[in-house]
Amino acid sequence: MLKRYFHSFGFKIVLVTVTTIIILFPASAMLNLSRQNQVMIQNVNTLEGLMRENLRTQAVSLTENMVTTFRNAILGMDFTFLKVSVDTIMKNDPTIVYGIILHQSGVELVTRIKLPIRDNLAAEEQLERRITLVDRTRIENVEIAGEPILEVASPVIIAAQTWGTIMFGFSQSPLNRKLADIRRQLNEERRRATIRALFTTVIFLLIGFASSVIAGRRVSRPIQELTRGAKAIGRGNLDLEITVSSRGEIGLLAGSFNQMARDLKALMAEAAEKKRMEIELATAKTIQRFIIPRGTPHMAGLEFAGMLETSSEIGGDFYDYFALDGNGRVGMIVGDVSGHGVAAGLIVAAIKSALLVEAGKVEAVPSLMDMLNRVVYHVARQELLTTCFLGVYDAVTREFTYVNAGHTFPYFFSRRLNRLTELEESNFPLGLSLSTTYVQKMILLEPADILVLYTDGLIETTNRAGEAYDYDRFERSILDNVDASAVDLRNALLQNAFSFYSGKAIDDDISLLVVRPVAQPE
Amino acid sequence: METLKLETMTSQEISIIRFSGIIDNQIKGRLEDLFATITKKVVLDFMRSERINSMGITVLLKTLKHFQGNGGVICYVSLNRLNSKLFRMVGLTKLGKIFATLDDAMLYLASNQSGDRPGQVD
Repeated sequence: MLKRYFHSFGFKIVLVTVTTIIILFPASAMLNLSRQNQVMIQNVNTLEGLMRENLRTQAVSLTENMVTTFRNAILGMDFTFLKVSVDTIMKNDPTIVYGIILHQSGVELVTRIKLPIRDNLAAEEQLERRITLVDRTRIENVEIAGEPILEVASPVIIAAQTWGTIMFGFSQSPLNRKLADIRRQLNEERRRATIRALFTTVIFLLIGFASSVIAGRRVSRPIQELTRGAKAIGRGNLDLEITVSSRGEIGLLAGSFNQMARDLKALMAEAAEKKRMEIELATAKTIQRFIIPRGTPHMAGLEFAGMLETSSEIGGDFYDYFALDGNGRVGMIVGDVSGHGVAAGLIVAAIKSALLVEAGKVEAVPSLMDMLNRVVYHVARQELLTTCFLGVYDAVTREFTYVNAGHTFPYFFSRRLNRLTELEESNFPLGLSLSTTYVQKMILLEPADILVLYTDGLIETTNRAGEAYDYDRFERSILDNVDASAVDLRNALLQNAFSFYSGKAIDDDISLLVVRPVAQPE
Repeated sequence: METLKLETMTSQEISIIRFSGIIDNQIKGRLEDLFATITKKVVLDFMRSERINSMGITVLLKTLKHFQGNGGVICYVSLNRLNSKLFRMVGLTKLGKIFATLDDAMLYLASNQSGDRPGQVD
């Protein structure tokens, strides 16, 4: 369970979010801190520079002002005033640690020193060495007794003559302490900022973790629902409707899954229906094959050889031959129901049934055709018509009486005349009108004569070039094989026609029935 | 499947119907509708239609027999050899007359009087 969670989409979202926060937020915080520090350090440095510059300006200004102030006292030789003035200045300004007025002769007229230099022998000696006359203002940073001092020495010039030098030492310790204090405050502020940043990072990390867990669950839950649904569909439960709370892409995906399940269900139903129809068609085809006579029998002195090739499972072509009575009369029929398929097959079955029941009862051939016309008319209601050639051969008289209902004209080869003719008799197909009158015709069928009955599919089927087989080729093929038996003639005719089609699938049913009287009628 | 097209034009009470493509089950309904607007004389031109299958023949027979039974006069033009023979076999020549050209058919229809029909239906 836990292992599955580690591989889940939701966990990955949590992982990515938390990692992003861990990387980005501290980095951002540190960057900000660093920038803040730099700014603060710059500010402190600037402040230090300003303060030192201020001290220096004040020191120089004070010293030079003293030179001016003391000028009158010097001219009046009022050295007491000088001492009192230096004492007052040093008292008012605690940063001044020493003040010295040196005469041109080298005599120190005023020497005032504060702690920690005073009473420090080494410091006093060091200071003593620094007490020198200057001819222009000198500013130096010195360290005496560990005390950082800004020392300013200015010459006292009277009547263009250098009278002496005034020196003041300004302690920088207060300034340094102040700067150190500022830096300490700065460091403290940096420490607090770092803690704040870390604290904020942790808080955001926790918030990010919580929100990513929630987001991960919101994302992974619909996926899990979808997965469960898909598995159920995969197991064959096509009635399941996957319900996903998400309205986003996952919701759309769930909708697609549901649609897919519905389509799949429809397809499976369609496939099942198709399978059922295929089985029914196969059964119908088998039954239709039984309708067509098999073998090449001899009946009433006639040899029969037939063939039927359908362009679909159920054909609309048919042929048959049947004994009418025990007096040597045999009937034969070739027909073509318009179209093909199940509807045409039903008409064929109706015609065959009618023939089975009625053929033996009807004497005249036109009457038999009238009966078939009524059957087709009432069954098909003019939606489908049937062309049909029906003939009856009397073995005693050798008379072949026939009626044509819109069917292709059969070929008749007369051995005696050595001539191939068509048995032309034009009329409407079966099923067009109940008032159609069929008229019979008759020929004598002698030994070695040939009757070739066929359907138009044989003539009209085209080769790959789109050229129809046509009557001329068929006639030549018959004439080329007039000495052959019925079976051989049938085979030769088919071989010739199908060679012409050159493997192209036929798009109409093809029927062929060759009938030939044998020398000795049975 | 080649699409069947039917074009009609009427000139001096004579309607001309031109077929293009294979005449098959597609003709069902369309031809009946066309003939509902035609009164007496019609020429069916098959110049651009070389093939008529059994379903096409069924519709032609049914429609033309009804039209002819109501006193209509029918002419067929530009039929190829196979179709001419087919028309003879199925009895369409009992309902109408075959002409080689449209002009011949128009001339025939122009001189044709009511009741003088090329075929007589039983």
